[in-house]
Amino acid sequence: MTVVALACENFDYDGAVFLHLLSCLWAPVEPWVTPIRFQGRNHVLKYLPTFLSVAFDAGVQYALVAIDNDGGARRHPEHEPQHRVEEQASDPDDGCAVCCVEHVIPSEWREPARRCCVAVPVQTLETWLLYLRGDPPLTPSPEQVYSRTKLKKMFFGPSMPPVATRREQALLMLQSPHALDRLRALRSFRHFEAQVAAWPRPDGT
Amino acid sequence: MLRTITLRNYKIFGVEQTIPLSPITVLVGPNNSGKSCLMSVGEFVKRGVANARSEVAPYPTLSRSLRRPAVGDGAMGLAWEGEDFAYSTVLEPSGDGLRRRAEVLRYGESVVFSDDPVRPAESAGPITSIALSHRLQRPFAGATIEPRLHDTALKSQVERAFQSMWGSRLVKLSIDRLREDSKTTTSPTLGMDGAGIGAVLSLWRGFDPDRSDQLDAVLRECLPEAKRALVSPADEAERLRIWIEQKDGQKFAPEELSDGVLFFLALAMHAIDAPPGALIFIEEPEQSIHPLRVRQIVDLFRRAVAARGCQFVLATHSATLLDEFRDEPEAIILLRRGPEGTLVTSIAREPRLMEALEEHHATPGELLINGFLNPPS
Repeated sequence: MTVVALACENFDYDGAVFLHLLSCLWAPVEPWVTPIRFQGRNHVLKYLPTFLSVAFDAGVQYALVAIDNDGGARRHPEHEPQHRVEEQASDPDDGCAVCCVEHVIPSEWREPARRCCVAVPVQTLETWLLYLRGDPPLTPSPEQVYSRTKLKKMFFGPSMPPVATRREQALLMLQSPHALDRLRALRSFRHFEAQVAAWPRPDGT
Repeated sequence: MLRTITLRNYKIFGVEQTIPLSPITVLVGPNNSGKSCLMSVGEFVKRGVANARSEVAPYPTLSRSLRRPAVGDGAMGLAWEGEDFAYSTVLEPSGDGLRRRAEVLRYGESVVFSDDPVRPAESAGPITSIALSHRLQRPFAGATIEPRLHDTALKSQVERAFQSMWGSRLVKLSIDRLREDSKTTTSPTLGMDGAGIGAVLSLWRGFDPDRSDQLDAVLRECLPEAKRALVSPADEAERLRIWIEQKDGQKFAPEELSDGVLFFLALAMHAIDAPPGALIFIEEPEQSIHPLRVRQIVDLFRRAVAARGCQFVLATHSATLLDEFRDEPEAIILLRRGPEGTLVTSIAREPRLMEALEEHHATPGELLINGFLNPPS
């Protein structure tokens, strides 16, 4: 299996979800085993260059960076192809989260082939899961619920369950029939999928 | 589960403060801000409220828990609320002790009993005038329920209102006690300081293999080199010694184990041992434990909440622990000293802190490290 370095907000939950998605969309993968863990978006942005450099030195060929677009998402634009990375990244609080991550990816992960993809669910990973669960239509839509905490609670309930339960609940949603097709209705998922589709496959295809 | 605890003139709490409780509540504040006082409430209720009889004051040591100088009317107020009930009591100085001045238990809008001479309107319900608590001494350990409490429904309501407090535990681990061999006893219990873990493990190994299996699974999951915890007779008669066996077959006695491993073992045992619905207060669960293991400890507590409806109150100075509650800001309770005692709020009630969390992507741990959770009084 191909080893992937995962930089995400919770390795045991978000990490497991994105590993599953990579396996579905690309090829079977396993995580790079490392004690490095992240806590929150600022933490990922601050330590991502170090993390990716360490992974590169360890011979890891692929990396996935996943952070939520949460927080002041009322101001955060969803990522647009025409975004200028430098401009967006100059304001880490209000800039596009995808651009902020792009800005700190070391060059060895871009060249000669890009092997690092950036996933930023809008607004959080639970937005995707709520969409799949098909709760009674939310007004506004889950993507327009801007509070990270509120989205987490909408999916998991008022108190956070153990991480194994969170992982099971999320994977259950993703294993439901046509889950990927349904997620393709969301722009932030399509952006993630497009990057994965562009990765060279381990078998050279 | 309890939803709130309210304190007035209790130790360094002065003006009445209501502490909202979550399934896992985290207390944050500088040293001497009142965290440990709040953590002691369960013990006080067990030892104090039950014994503060209405007419006599034979327990002068309890009076040390009364704030001096007291604020307001000088009486101590204790109250707690569950999903559908609210209990409150007022204790006032009497000689060198305390005596009960008032006591009310409500379920919803109905008064189950009321004994409150100051506010007789409270007595509009079915007054039984029972001095409740001393008739319910240790109701879960052999129950001395007096005949006047013959009404089954009432008894059930009273027990339910007291269940969390009666079943509460205060865990404040001591490395010295954890390294001691345990005394053998017919009914071993986990001590608040970690004493007795060998005896309890021996009990689990013999009669409760589910729990010992759970413990071994946790050890293997969180301590990569560990295989299981063992117990054997110690050199001294009637003592039991705990061991950690590694995957390579080596066994280590308490004096050879790191502080962190022993603390982790004891916390895991407390999490596994917590009875259904119990309220467990834990002082600084992070002590000597690596940050990655701290996250796993919190997850153990979450499992106890999900599996058995346990409730935890953790006092901490750990940014890592706090970050585990990033998505439950209402569970993070801030304590600070004011001129009239400890003041309490939650992050969720502080707009500037919520703005930092939601708009600027800060985590509670970052706010703690940088001093934002300790505003000047």
